[in-house]
Amino acid sequence: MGLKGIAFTIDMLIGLSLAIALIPLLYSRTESNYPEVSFQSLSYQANDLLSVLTNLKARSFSEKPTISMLLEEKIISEEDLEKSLLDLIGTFWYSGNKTIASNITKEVLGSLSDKCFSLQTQNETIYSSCDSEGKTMAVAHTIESGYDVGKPVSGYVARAWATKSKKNTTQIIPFYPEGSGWTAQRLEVTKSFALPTDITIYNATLYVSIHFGTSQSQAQFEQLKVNDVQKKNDVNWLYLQEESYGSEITTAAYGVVDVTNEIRPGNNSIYLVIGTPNYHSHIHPGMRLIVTYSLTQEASTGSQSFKKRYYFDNVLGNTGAWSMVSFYIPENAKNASAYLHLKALNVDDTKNLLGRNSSDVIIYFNSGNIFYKDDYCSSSTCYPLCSWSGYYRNCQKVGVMNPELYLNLTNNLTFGTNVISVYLNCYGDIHWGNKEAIIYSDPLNDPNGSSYVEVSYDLEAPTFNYGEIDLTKEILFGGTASNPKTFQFELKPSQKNIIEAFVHIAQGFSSMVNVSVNNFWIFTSPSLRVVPENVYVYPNKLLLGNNSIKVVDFQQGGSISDTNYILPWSSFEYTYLVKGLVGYGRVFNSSQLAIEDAKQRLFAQLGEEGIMPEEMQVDSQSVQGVRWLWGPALFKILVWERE
Amino acid sequence: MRGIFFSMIIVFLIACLLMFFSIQKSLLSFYSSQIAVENRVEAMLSFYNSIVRDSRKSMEIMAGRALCSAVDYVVTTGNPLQSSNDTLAELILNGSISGAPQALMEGSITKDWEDSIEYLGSLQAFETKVEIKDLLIQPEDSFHISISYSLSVKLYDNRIIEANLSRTTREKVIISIENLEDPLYPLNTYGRAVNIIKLSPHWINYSSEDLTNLKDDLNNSYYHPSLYGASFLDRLEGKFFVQGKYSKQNPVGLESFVNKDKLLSAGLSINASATNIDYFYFSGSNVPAYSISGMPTNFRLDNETTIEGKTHLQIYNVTVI
Repeated sequence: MGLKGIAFTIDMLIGLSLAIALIPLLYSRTESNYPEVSFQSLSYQANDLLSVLTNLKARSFSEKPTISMLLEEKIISEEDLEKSLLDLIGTFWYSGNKTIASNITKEVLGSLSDKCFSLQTQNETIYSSCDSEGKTMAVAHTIESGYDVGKPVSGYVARAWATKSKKNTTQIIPFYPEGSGWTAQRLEVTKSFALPTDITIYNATLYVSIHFGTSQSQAQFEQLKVNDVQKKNDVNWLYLQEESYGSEITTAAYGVVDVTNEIRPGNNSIYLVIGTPNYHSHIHPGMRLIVTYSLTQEASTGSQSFKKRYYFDNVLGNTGAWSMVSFYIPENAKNASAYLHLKALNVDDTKNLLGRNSSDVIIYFNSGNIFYKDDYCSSSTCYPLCSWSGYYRNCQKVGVMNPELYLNLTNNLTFGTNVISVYLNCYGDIHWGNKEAIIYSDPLNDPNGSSYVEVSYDLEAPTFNYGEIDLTKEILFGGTASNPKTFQFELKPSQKNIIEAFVHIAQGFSSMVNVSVNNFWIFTSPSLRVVPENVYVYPNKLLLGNNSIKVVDFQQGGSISDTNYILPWSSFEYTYLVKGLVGYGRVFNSSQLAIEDAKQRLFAQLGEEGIMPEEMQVDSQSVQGVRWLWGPALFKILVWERE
Repeated sequence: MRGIFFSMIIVFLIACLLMFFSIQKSLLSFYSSQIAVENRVEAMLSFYNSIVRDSRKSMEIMAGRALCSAVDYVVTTGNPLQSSNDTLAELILNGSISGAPQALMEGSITKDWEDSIEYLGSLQAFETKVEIKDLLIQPEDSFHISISYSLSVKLYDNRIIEANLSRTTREKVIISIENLEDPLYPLNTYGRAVNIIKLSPHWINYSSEDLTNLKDDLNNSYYHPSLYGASFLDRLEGKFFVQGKYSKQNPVGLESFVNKDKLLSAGLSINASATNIDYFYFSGSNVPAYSISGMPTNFRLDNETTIEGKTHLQIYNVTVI
């Protein structure tokens, strides 16, 4: 029995040992039913590898062959070493340098894990340490902005600006309403002016607006010399209006002549001689020279302090002479001042019937009241009390004067259009004295000795900034002669920055005018015949899109004139700013592409205003390293057991 | 009897063995489900960490583009910014300057990044809400700008496990201003002169015997740190000197040598007797300026303090003629 017990016990122990020996086998079988447990160690490894990539800077691995080589060859800079490893790998991978990205991954992660691993992004494998995939693979992933498949990581932007541009612009040289040649006497007007010297003139058109002769056939149109070239027979008369007053017949004429071949860069002069047998010959509103030329302009900034001289034309009248100059003060001007320098020659010094000195020099400024007179006036019209015959007053001539005046106009200045009228031995339809009187002006040869108005003012801000180019254009009213006349026009968005604008009124007979823009009043003649050659338009009253200008000629009593028409050759002149530079555009893969794009944008911008690419001198600047905010892209680390 | 006894022992031991297996199996099952929960939570944490980390990367990208946009605005319009740090914040958050959208910021503002993150979160079955706000932008040093911001992240998982993570942190990134245009040059030269900000490779290595480094700095108008010269943010505002709102304990200002010959070749008139230090030159400051031995005849340096308690003459180690 004792042996049996021992045998059973030994048997039991052997069985038990066998059972215990089976436990690990059972355990391992059970474990295989729960992959999370075995997966966990792989997962830890994947997360650790990802941490290395995301948390450690490239500098930590600068001794690795690929990074070291990149540094030596200056493909990356010290600054790039501050990037995370993943950022560095991503930058190379997405910029197309896949081998470099792969090598860095291999060199850094290969020494950290003996398991199989793979770094992937957006379904592409950057590097895999094993060819075959495992049955159980742990994945750790992270996101990284700035990357997307097929998209560049960073690029270049560029801007461009025109340092010089050749622009087509228009300059209007107005003739002032001025006279006078009485009863077949001559009126001689000389306009001297300077155009820029470095221009190419494309067109020069002279509009002639005069009161002369008795009729078309009896016109006393003696001279029209442009730079000494006789052009009087080339005038195409666009409008002739005869009016009679009793037996007196006179004609207002408006014509045009092409003087492109005569006008030249630099100094020019136009000499006009007209007369009328039985009335008073003078220049009517709207006589002007329009010159279109190309000018090479350097980019610069606008001035804030202005000093301009408005020279009178040289007017030689018989008898008496008068002229009316207009100028403008911008509505936002500060410290505005103006003075008149008048140099008159051969003015008769006369006395009236009572032996009193007449006023032979009379000046009006922005008012119907006399601003200056050199002696006695019997009334506000200042006609001397002398015996008369028709329009002539036969006053006693006691001498000849050459008066030179400096008159301060500052206190009577007004914003907008200012008008100053100078009369020598005449006013309105009356004249006196014996023979010629001259308003002297020769601005090209004697600028300081000539007659002029000098205007000064400051602006709080320059009218235009650097990179801006000013262009001047003119639009004719068109249509038919009428009174009143309304002109409608459109301003494009590219013309939104208007810095100066004027209405040039062309008339046959004229009295006084009222001008409004978009129903906003801008000018009313202060006295008879004060129709300025330039009526200043406040730029802030102009609108993008549709605008309208209304001009009305009226009599002193206020009624609308029956026969004083506003002619179709009246015009609207405006100067606007165009940007001569473009800012950064799209991001490109190379500096060259970015700069080319910037130049093209500049050419397109200025081309809309008639400036050609070959007429521009362009500079450019590119900026590198502008990164894209693509993605974020998904980066994955996969880890699995080696087989 | 003994046989029965031993058989019972065997049965008992087998029962114990079976019980052990059963307990072990249930423990393993529980452990596995715990691991599944842990993995999900770890995924949530990992995603959160990715968001935080990527917010910094994205902020660097957005800020880089915002700086370009701000420079572009200033040099294109000729109008300095009123408050450059506020404008940069507006650019990063809204992509605009005074409400006007800027092309360079298209698709590169915080909202774009937030939307992308929320979409990625949805792919991982997380309800995600992220928001960047309260940007604070100031100079970090002469060549870097710091941007700190509030990052609010809310992650919610109601499909796999019931878990949520909500956290608001304050993050900070440092942005280099190198390779950007200096707005002060075009602003003061009618847009004709351009200078790219680059730290001088010679800083602070200037020899009184060998002027090669100084001449190289002049020819390239390289930049140096400065105590009083306008910082980059000041320069965006058209200012010549560091303003109180941007000054710090450490120097944040910049200075470069104005290359007068380049200004001349751009058709600009120059002040040959003025110091070449840019913020003095452009501001028209009437500081005494001295001709320097061995340097071009129109090169002048003032003796005003610049950095490290030294004057310009001392720091550039030059001899006055």
